[in-house]
Amino acid sequence: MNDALAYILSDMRGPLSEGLIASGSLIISSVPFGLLLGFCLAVGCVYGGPLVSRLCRTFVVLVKGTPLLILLFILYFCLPTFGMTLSPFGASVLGFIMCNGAYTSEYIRGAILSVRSGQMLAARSLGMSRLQGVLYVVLPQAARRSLPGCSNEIIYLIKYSSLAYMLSFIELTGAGKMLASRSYRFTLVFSVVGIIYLCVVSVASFLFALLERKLEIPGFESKRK
Amino acid sequence: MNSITIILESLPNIAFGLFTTLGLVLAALTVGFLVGLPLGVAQVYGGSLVSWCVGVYVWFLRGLPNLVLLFLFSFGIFPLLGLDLPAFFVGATVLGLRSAAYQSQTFRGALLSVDPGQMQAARSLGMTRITAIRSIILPQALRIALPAWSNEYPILLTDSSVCYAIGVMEMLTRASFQVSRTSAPTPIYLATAAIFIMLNYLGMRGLHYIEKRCSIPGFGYR
Amino acid sequence: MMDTVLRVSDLRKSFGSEEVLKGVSFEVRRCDVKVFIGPSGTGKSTLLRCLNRLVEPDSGQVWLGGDEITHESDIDFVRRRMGMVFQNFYLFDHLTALRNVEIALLKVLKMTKAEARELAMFELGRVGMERFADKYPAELSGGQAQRVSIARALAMSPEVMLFDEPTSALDPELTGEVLDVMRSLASGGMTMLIVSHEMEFANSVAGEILFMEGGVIAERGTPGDIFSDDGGSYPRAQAFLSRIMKQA
Repeated sequence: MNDALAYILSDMRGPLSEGLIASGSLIISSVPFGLLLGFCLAVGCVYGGPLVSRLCRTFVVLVKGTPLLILLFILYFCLPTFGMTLSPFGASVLGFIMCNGAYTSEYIRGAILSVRSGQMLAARSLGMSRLQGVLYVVLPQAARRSLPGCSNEIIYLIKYSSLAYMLSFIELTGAGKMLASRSYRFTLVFSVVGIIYLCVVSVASFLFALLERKLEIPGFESKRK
Repeated sequence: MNSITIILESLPNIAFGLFTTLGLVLAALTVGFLVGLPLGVAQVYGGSLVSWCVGVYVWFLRGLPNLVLLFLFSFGIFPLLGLDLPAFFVGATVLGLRSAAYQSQTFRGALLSVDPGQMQAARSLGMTRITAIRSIILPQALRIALPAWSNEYPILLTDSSVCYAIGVMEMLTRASFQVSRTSAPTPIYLATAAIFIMLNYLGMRGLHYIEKRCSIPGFGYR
Repeated sequence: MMDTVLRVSDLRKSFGSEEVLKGVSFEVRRCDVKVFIGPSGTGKSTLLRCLNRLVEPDSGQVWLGGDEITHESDIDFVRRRMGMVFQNFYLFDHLTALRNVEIALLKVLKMTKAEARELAMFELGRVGMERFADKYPAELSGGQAQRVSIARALAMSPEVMLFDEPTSALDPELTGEVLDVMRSLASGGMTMLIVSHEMEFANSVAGEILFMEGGVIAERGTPGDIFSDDGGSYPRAQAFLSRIMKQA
């Protein structure tokens, strides 16, 4: 027991911390762009003309239907044949952005559609242009409604960032695997790795719940179409 | 055309992986249901201690990445218990336990959304709690849960490919073998992705059909 | 004739194969209060929405002031001059009452924050809702919400106010406060077009009653003429009214 504890404190700290930072860099690079992509796809699906909305739908369906790991493999192994070689980090981030964007766009799209049509009618009757109605009335409400779904997707991303290891990018899970293989203490190492993920996910969930509470508007949630 | 030949050549091998993939998904769905439904019922009707325990299980299984769970069980826990299981069983177990965590919450939500008056009516007729749950609450809850439960299918389909990491011979593993054999990643991985997209689509259509068959007129509009 | 605020000529509208407006024409002068009554589904709401082109008429013309607006390309600019109050109020759910009134002032009329705030508070006061300025729509009763939506439309200083069954979605006890606001608007000289089922209110406030049936204005006259018993010249309106009164 003491032996294990000593091992945790001395040998594991270094590699696992590096791995955690690597995971963090993956997530920080992916989340903002994933949200941005999701937003653009959702707006394209709802407000784009027939061509744009069909393109956006197709992109979303294709990316949602493809397992994330396969998407990563395609980006990392197949793109070089077209002249674009991505690093493991680059391919991972690109894949996460695409996946996060596709799933997030579904939540945002649903939220936009759930804003009652009367809101737009009232905005237009006051002389607001369609753009103003969308910007000042529909989107603020849609943003609040999509918050739970989007924060879910971000947490999903925190967990699935571990797949970057399959492209040989050493983040937290990869660091753990290497550590465990060297020391043969698989259960211990992966348990610690697991606990670290649990903590990160739990803190993130808590912060998102806080954010939702802060942005709450009385009676808003119950007003559905 | 070279690409077409490569795809046609590798397809049989990859197709065998199809059975493994679907096997994983089905096994996980089943384990998830058999474990998740009782957990959900226990969480709603079992009192605060039981509810808390289920909560911890769910927190654990949902908070850990798939990959870490697979490694943990495959290299750590099972060897520790002296079990030398084939990779398929490890994968099915991990995916199943994880799915059980998610499914338990789906069932919990469905159980809670059944009108409390239903239970009152059942008890007033003299039914015991268990009979009421089995005959009155569950049939309604399961119907309510069906759309959300169907979401497990595409999720498990995606997660099955992660079992590549522990060497399960599902489609992605076989595809990557073909790639190292032919050095032609593009046609093979794209074809594999296409197969998954098809599986996704067909599965959702099938589940939709089941949903329609099971629906009761006017039910579910709350 | 600068006195004519609104002129409508032969307005027609079909939805699919169903012709809802079959040639509606009338004139509205400054300070007129006209109430449209009639069976449901005769196109009264559609008529109002054709006036500010929330629904595009198939043919016919509308003049606001001296300007022909049916073929006007910048319809947003025209809509500022008409205020509309909806049956379901359609307050912006994510904004407080005050912000609901302010937002169009800021974004459409481009007022400064200070100007907008002052005007918004004034209009809220006009409808008796100044104490509820910081409440969200969900926290207001139906009557309160409808009054805020009237304030929101009034704040744009429209030339004419359009009311589409403003009290139909309200519980009976709450209609009074909204009708009172509308009464004071009328006596203040606002030009108003109202679609309503509130016959007593119409009787007391309207300058003219227009009875719509079958997509046209079937009969029109002063409240005194239409509501009085010996209405031999208004048979269809009388038939409709006696049906309604019997149910009351």
